[in-house]
Amino acid sequence: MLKKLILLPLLTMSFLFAIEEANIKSEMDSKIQEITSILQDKALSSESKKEKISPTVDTIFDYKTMSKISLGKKWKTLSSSEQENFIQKFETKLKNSYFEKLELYTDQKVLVQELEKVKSTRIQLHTDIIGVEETYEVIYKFYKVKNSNDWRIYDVEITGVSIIQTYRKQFSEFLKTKSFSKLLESL
Amino acid sequence: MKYFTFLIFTLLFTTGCATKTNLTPNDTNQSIVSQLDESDEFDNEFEDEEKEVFDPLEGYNRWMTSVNDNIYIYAFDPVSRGYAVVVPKPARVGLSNAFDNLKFPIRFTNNLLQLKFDHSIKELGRFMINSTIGVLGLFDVAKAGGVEAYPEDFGQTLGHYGVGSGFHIVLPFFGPSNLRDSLGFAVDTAISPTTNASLKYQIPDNTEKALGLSTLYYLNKNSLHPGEYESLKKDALDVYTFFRDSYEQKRAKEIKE
Repeated sequence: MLKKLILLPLLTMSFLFAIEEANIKSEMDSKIQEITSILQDKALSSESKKEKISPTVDTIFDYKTMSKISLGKKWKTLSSSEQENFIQKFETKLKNSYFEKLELYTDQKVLVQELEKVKSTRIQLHTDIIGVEETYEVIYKFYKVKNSNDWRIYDVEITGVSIIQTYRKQFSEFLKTKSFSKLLESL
Repeated sequence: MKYFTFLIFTLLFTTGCATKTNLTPNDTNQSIVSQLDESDEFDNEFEDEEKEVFDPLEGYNRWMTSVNDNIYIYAFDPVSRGYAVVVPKPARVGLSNAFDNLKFPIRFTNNLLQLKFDHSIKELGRFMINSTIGVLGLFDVAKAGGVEAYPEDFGQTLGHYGVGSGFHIVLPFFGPSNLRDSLGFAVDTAISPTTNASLKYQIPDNTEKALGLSTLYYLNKNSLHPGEYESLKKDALDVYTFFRDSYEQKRAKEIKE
């Protein structure tokens, strides 16, 4: 019984973590609207907005894969505790950065556009942030988890700039001259 | 003229170099990607993180990045925040629309040069509607009616025809650019109605007025994007390479479109 109780939340968590192909558009749409409405709630402080948004963001971002890609070849040379450490730090960094960007555009509308299947294991969801004078394109990139029907986000592209590509380059350059523990510190 | 020929020559030369370095083994292995496992697949999708960037001006570029950063933080941004307090937002949006409307010849010409005729026609339509019903471009009525702008510049036109970016150059005040886009920027500026190159339709009749107009344009634009630069900067481990790589990624995407 006890075992079941512990297992249950774990199962639902991993279930929440991913989306099936047919539901990507509708689920993302409702999540984005949810996030937007929290951001536009003037009664909330910046800190509590972040707290409220965090669980929603966690359900769509695959931080582990993002960490892996952004470290490139370095990833395989790390011990599993170093990897865990990195994922945690990087997750916070990504979340803070994503939140801060969203906060800049609170009074603006987000439109979920088309879903593009790039290949059998990749889907891109195009969204537009309608600004006062221009439109910013934000693309959420999903990959299909091996031997399953689950899709997870591994990268976000904002006006043509891939977040993970940029970190990948930054980390690699940092590690050329400095140590991994220094990298963890600076995150 | 001699200088111009030199520029073209350097441009073509560096383009050759750039294409050469772009040919990583990954490009030739696309067909067997499906046989590889998940992480290899990601490695193919993302650029090799250890690839060296050809950056002969790095020393100067780093210095200029910090000069620009100081100008921005200590002069430009405070002034534009003050300006935002005095001038109400709808007026600033209107002014921004009017400037964008005036820059129509740049978008129109470059769409034409890239043989994007449908976009040129839409741009022409936008200009006519916004200049009249939109009161000299203050209101973007065409956008409200569903006709968006198609921004194209001469750097994109060159890229469209296969001219490589050349090396990265950080311009004073304007920030990240590269050899191709600097040349493009010079051409666009020459035909822009808000600069003074003695073309009939150009508004300012001397350099001072042109400079004033340009300052107002950037000041007004920045006032509509408060905090963006600071927020981006926070994501960087190394501010210079961060802005350099983001810029080149963004341009590559714009050219592909």
